[in-house]
Amino acid sequence: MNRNRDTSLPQTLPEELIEEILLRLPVKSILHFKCVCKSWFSLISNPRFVKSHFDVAAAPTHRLLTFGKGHEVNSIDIDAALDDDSGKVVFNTPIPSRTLKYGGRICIVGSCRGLIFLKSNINFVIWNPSTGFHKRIHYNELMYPQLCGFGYDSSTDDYVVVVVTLPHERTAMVDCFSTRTNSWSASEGTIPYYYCDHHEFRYGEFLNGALHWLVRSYDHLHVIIAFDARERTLSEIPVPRDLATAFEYEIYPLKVIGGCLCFCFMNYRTTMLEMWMMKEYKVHSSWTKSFLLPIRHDSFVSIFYPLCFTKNGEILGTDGGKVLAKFNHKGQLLEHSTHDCKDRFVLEPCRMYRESLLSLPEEDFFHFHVVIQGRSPLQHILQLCGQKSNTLKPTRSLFIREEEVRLGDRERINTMSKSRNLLDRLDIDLEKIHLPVFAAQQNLCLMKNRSINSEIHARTLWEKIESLYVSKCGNNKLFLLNYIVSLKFKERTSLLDHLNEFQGIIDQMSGMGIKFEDEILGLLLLNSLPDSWETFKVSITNSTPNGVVSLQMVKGSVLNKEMRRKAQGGEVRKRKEKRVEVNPSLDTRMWSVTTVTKQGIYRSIVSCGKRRTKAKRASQKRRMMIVSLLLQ
Amino acid sequence: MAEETESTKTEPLKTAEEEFKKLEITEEEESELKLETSDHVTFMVEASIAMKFGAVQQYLEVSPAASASATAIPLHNVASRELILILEYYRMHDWVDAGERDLKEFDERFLKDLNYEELKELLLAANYLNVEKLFNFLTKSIANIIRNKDVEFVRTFFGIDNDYTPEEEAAYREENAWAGVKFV
Repeated sequence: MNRNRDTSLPQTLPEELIEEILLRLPVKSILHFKCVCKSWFSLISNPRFVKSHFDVAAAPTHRLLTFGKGHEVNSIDIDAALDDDSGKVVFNTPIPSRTLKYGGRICIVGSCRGLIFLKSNINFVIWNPSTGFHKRIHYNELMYPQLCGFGYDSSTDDYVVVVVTLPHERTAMVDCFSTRTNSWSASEGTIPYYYCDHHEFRYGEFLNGALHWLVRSYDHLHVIIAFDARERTLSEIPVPRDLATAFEYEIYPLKVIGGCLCFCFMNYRTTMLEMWMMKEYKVHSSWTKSFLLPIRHDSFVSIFYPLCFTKNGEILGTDGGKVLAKFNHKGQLLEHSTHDCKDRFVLEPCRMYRESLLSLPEEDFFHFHVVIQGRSPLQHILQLCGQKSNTLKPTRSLFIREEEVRLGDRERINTMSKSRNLLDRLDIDLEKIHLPVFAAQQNLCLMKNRSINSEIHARTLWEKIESLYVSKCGNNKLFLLNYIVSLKFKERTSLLDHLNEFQGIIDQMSGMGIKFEDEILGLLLLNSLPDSWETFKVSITNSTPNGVVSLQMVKGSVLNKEMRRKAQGGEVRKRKEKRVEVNPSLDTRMWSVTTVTKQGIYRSIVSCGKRRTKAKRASQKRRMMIVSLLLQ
Repeated sequence: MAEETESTKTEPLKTAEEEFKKLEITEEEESELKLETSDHVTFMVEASIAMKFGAVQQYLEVSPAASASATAIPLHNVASRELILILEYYRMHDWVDAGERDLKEFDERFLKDLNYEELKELLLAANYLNVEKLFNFLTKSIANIIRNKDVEFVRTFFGIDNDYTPEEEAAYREENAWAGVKFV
């Protein structure tokens, strides 16, 4: 039996197995397979999938970013041969071109989990070259020069941008941007440090949850400072004595190579490049000299700055100019290539990254008090429920009162100008984010409520807020009543959706203790049909025994009628649509309706013009009647 | 016929098992379990191997009597053909004192003997039986098969219908054009 199934059709696999297979593919293949079919697309776009793809790391791929012309960056597969152009991809950086026009240059500051942190003048951009995702960060007080870096706090799934200022003979100042709260916070170190001379030293290396820079201490020795992304504190990692005092050598910026902090310098006395690795993190005795490369000034590689290990254990590096070269661990040159990058040194912007599909996590907008103008939260929730989408987009009608904007625990914004900035930013982001933000004017304590503050996901937050607001108070009952009476089915939308929405409100009301008789429910449903269904309504009400309708009966005939309408085919509907096209403001159906109830269909359409006001009144009356019925 | 191959395969292992028994006399009783596949073939499987199957474990948890009694544990979604392959794989990986190179060779041979349909059937069976090692091996192997293939190949491989309009597909291809550079 099993065999027969095989030969006839290819076996299809359930989605969870497809997911397991896709999780084991490299980023490039996954992106390519987005266009296999729609269900694959939505699976691949799912943030949960993206995250587990990164965590499973069944096929991690590493690439090297170097600069090309203008906006362009070249991404090189470090495991491919250097002269193999098929491993090279050109991306456009998402830096606005106008900043480049005024002599700005793009720097690749750091990379973390597949996201690249780019800087050009005051533009900070976090960018995933594989997916094209990018986000700009505002930072106004950029003084020159500063240390900066990009890291990740795994405990809160938060990416941080860190700017460290080392004022002369004063303690270090740290500004830290959290993508979760979308805000900067400031802290201060305890000891002053000095910058190393070249500005390549200013880009931090991320390892073990901390960003690292090589700086000079107060007594002018080399020292590594580490900023812990979770604790948000600066600490010091000493380097071996030989390295701390290696002033007569040419020192290269700190690198993370093979998962270890690496310190490289050119020893002029021995004409050797020395690479020291801290094999165990923060274990001083684990610093070892692990790679030596004799440098001859007559050879083309007169300088060699190691960048990373390839899969086969070779060392890829650059000469600080335009040459990329690969050496094996014995110091033999394996291959090299020259890169065409106009008036730039390769050394400065070279940055290795691991490909990923990750984007930044959603922002925690519940850190802000947001007030909805003139409407109760319940009304808003219901309106959004009515739209019944998974991506609950806050509508533009969300109004944020300035004085209510406060940041969470980490920072408070005091000055008005700052909060104005924040508002502008919020306004832009509100359209993009899929996080419902609610706080009632009368319920400002809501956000202080611990149970809500600890929620991270939009959906759980949503449910919490819903349970807080969908209470049994009289105002809510009145609102629901009003809602169900004014509920209208819209032409050319799904009738089933409409029925579901209707049932949803009824259920909600019965949850509050309001029960309707079956007849009233039937009448309410009839009432929710648009005026173009007037004939139908009349025929239903007339055909019932004793003039009593039931919900079941109405539902049945509504669905029947819809089926028939569909079955009648396109011609009738086409004609109707045409009429609407001629004069979209004209509600022809409504007119035909009133006349139908009194005189018949065809004549009414001809003579509709004069009857407009009358028709409206009639339908309103009908509605009023049902309302009064309800209130009895 | 299926049972025949099964018994021949077990022959050299039986001796190993007996040696094992000599060392640990206490575990004598729970030596074999009866498994019945969807095409009603009954297998006598060494308990140590059968207990590697998550589905068998689960069954025994629910009805512990089955391990002692002669009733077969039904495996509804696994045909005898697949079970033979799975047992073969697990014998190699967990029983025989095989070196890394032998295992690699075995894996390669194992894959070579399967066509795409059989591979998928086996994956379904492995998923049902909840055998992690083989499951990981199979998903990884399938990923390797499709990783550098084009979209058409993947669709036929998985029997997926293209539900995009040509315009939509072109748009998505454009969007991730860089990822398609190397594919032919």
